[in-house]
Amino acid sequence: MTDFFAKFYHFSGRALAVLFIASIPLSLFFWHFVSDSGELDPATEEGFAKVLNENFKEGDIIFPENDWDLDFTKKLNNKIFPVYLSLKELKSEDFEYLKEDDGRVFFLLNDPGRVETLLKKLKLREIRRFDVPKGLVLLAEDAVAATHKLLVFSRDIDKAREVYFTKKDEKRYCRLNSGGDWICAKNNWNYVGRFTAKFNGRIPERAVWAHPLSKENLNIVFDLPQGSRHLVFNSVLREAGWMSPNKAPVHVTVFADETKILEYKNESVRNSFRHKAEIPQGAKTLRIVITTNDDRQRHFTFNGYVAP
Amino acid sequence: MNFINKIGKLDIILASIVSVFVFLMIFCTRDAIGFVRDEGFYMKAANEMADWYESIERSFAEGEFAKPFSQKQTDRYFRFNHEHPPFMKELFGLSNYIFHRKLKILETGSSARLVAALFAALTALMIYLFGQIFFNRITAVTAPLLFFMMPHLFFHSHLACFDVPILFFWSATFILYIFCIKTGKLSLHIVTAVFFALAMATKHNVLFIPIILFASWLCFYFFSYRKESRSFSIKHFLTSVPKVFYFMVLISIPLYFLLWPWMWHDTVNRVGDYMIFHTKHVNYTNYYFGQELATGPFPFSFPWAMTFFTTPLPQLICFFAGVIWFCSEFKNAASAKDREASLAMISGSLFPIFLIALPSVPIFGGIKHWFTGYPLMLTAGVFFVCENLKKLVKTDRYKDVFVALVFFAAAVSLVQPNVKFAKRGPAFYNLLIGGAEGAAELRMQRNFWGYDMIDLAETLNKNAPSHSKVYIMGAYEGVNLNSFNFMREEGLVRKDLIGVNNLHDADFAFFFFEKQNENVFNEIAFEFGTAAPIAITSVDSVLYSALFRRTK
Repeated sequence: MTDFFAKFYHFSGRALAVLFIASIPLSLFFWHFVSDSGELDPATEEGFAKVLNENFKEGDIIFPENDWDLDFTKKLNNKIFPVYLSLKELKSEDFEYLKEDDGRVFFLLNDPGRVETLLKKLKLREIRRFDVPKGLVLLAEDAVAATHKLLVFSRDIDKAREVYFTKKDEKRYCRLNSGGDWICAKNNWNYVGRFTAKFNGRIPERAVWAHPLSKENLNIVFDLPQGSRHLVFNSVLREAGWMSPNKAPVHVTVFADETKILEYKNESVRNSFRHKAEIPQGAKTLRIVITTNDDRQRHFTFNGYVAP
Repeated sequence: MNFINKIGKLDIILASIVSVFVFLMIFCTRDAIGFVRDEGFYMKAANEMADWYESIERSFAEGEFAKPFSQKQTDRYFRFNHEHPPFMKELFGLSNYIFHRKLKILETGSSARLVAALFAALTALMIYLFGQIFFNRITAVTAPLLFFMMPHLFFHSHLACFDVPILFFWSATFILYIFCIKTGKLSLHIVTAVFFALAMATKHNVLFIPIILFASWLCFYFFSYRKESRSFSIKHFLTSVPKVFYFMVLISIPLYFLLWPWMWHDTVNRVGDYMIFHTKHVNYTNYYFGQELATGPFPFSFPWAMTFFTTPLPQLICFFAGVIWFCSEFKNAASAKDREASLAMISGSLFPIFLIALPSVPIFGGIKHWFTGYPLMLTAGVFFVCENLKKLVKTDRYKDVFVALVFFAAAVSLVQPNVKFAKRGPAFYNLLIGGAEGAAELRMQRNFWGYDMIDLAETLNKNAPSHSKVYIMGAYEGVNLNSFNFMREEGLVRKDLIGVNNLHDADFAFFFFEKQNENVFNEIAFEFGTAAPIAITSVDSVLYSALFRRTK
């Protein structure tokens, strides 16, 4: 055994000395010539930005394959977003909440050879390819027509009929600001408005921020479009919420006119709560009521839609 | 054994040169690095401390010597940030009191960072002395330079935080303990205990040291020391315990409480609160090979792999060499005391990493929480590599020249990565993972703490209309509002600009990329009507932060 250690010590000493010497040219070579080899060249960045500036329509979404070299965004015109940095985690079912019904998907690819695999994996149909110097922009759409959504909470929150808090007989209205958010108090967290949250644990989706107050009911009322029959309602607490020592659940109730169609507790856990409900025929309004017994870190968010 | 004899006049000169060089390198580049999240709290605490020193000055002038130490006064000045021990904040405050308030030559931020630079210099000095006393002069000169050529260490050395000071105290306590057991000098045991009190008053990490060292000593006592002396009585046991352990109880603990006036009153509850805060510390989410580490259990491999991938290659090889050298010293030790000393060095080097590797221990801040043992294994490693490099040369008179040339070349090879990551050390990944690009591709944590705004501030200062509001991402591990305000005071951000934590109110927005917060990118785009930043920061094209301007 002693002999083994002596040999190991002798060998490792020599080996480490040689490795140390080898690390010098390796470091020099890597940091001078290799460390930036994956970056996009300016012409490709220019190409990505040009294609997006000329072809992007509101409701479309963008996925760059290289999600850490974002120099191309500097050349984008206004109103060209969202840019999702999560192509690696993307699954076909994610599109339901990431884009609008008829929205298209732009993929900014470094490797044009990935097109077929990507389309197959994400169940998309190619619309068009745009060549750029060292890459490709792929424009795609859903292979099967997506569910037509009459009302999308995250998109239409500024079109809600009213948002208010009730406490016993008191009623306190929130006011719609120019940014499309319902401001309910001076606290900057006490509003109802557009936000994002990870419902699937991977990619931040569009959502509505709706922080409840202790023992008060937050009411969000929408006019239901004609033909509304199905409700899809998802909710999740943001990270600071589910990681908080406060474990008070958030109670959610949904009424179609005066009929209760959904009721559940969003426990203080990491995962999201996904529900579906039928909307009675001819119902005119949808009222979402959110409350909790302890509002500390109840960073509650929801998304979903109403379909025919 | 006389350690002092190993320090000659030349060593005093060399150690001074190395320390002063490190101090100047750190202090003169302080404005290149934005104020991190924690610094905002500590700089605010430093202001409170400076207030306390002023109150002491006033009270003493009025002949009221006890007043500043009354509960009313100590609670007033020590309440803020009382969950962390006071020593560094007291020093930051003292520097603030002298250089900011009295001499008016430094702002609050710089006065606190002056203390950080001093601790970097002390660390360089410690490494030099450790290298010279235990190894040789070439190790003593090379090790501190290689140490500060690790981008993470260079970065953290700038910060008015506790991490590099506790690294200094951690490593130095282990070194002093070895001096204690090898020399047996009473004065050294007392000095170690005093030193350990300062360490405890800096950060709680060191509370593990007596446990590790005493457990190790106990093992040696029962399996070796007791047999050597052929005595089995309790009296023998009690007289054999190294005196430093008694002094840790008799000197370190009282001195620790003396340094922390917050603990003078309601002591039991406050000590309890302190313990609870740290035993139940929240976790800060980290990305690790695409896995979101938000709640435990955390992978055992995390700190080992992060050390492997965030240490430049030459120093990483030295780490391995250092551990092998300590192990071989343990194996071949001539006496039990030497063996205990080697075990102490192994523990001092690796225990911090092992502790964070435990699945239940939260990962809150990356490598800064386990780099406390790096000086020990790096220095030993430099020596071991140095000795083996000599073996590669046959002619005696060229051996030292060859070794010096190799270390010089290693330092040259480290210039480029250090320059690239000088402003964002926590973002450094070595070539084994493919550098910044490789780490980004593999979904590793990209950066921490929203400090990375110095390059953006230039554009902001130039373009923002008067009194613009700037979203600082405070709720998402971005800039802390205190840090932002201290950067304004320092002149790094224009003084009329206002930091806000609500995107809706903002005219400009900082975006600090962390995978867990990437949603903020699109939230800014929706709110501002654009996804086109007016400035970005990057290394090798990997984006770290961006500045947006409202268009609607």
